Amino acid sequence: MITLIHLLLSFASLLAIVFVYLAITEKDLIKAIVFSAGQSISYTIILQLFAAPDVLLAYIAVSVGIYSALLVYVVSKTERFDGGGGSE
Amino acid sequence: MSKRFAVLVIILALTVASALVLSYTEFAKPAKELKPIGLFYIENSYFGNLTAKSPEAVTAIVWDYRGLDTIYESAVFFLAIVGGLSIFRLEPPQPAGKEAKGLTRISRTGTKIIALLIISVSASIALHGHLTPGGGFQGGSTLAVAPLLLIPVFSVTRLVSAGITSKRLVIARSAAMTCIGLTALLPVLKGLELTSNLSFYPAEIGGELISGSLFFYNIFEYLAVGSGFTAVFLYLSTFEETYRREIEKEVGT
Amino acid sequence: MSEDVFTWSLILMMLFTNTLLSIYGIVYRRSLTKKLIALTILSDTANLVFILIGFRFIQPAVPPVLTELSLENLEYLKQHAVDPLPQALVLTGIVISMAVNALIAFGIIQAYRITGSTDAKVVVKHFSEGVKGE
Repeated sequence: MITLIHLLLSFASLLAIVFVYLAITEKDLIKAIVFSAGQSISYTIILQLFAAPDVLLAYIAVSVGIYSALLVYVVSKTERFDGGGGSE
Repeated sequence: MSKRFAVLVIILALTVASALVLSYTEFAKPAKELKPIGLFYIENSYFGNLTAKSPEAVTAIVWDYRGLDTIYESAVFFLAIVGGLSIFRLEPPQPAGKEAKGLTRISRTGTKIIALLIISVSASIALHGHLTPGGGFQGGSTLAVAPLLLIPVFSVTRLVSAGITSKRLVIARSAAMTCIGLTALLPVLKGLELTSNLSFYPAEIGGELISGSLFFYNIFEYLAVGSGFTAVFLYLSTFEETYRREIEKEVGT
Repeated sequence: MSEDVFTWSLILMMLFTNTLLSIYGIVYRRSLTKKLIALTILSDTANLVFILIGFRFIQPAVPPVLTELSLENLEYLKQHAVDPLPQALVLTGIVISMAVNALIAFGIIQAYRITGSTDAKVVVKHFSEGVKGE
């Protein structure tokens, strides 16, 4: 029987792929930071369904709070736009 | 713009298709039983012979059964803060920078209320870490959101002139880490092993369960992590012109 | 083919795809800040693989916490709780990778102050010229 847990796990997995792809291919770095925070939120849904509340509390505070703040500081002190893709 | 979304739809379709193929061949089946070592920790965390008197198995593993791992992890975090201090250093005497103004009165009043709520909720998360999910690091990183709100709303210059400088917060972090080290070291003075829990510390105080040293570790880790993050945000928020002048003096461009 | 196996396979393929996407982001994007964002995504994905190993796919799956201090609650946990050991190891892993990412962020700011750009090729060329010139 398909229960709510299966639906939520599948939904959170597909949402994570969307956010990761949008974060990596985005030229404006502030939008990339917002997409990275969205990816952390979809990982948090998966962590709650995997019955890991300790890891969830530490992960959401670090990933949505600390990393986003740190990266906004870095972007405001350096450049805002990712200067083109292409191979090294 | 449409090329990006086309590649995204292709990636999603490929993932779902390969998941269908994988489940058809029944290649990866989820587990239905616990491993024996997980069963050992669940059995012994409160009722067994090698007990830590804590109904929460994860906190007992983090601070009692594998306590030295956590102490070294706190040391690694301290090294990161010190490394950042060496990049963001300023030789005294520091020149008077420009004054920043902060936001309006409405934002300030709202932020004061929210910061008080954040401090009380994070203290609650840290203090009951041995009874329910939570603990020192979780509470400390929740506490770090409060200065993150206070710094843009009341400007950095006003916080520094009120006496909250990054140097004092690093001193507070060092004091909390010393207390963690003392809590680990005190049993040795009586001849027991390092980081002993129930052979030295009481399991209950006044009828309330405190699980020995787990309570003290959680309090000191909470204070250490909170002050560490606040120190990092304070020295990151200094104006960039001050550092640019220092770099130009040193590099000579 | 049951829904348990399909959901498990979907999560595994999602983690694999995220790993490949973030490795692409580290290698093929020029800006140092974008490489740091991709590195945080990669370490989060690796930590989630650990939690996956400790999970048992029964309904209901509860966290390994005693809700009442009684022995029949302990028997219930032995039948229904998930593994506590990978969660403890992942907690340590989150803190250590956060410390390393913070140091990398400080290094990016300092490299921008000295060289004036966050393009990886420009920064490497600026610092390796000093080595070759000696």
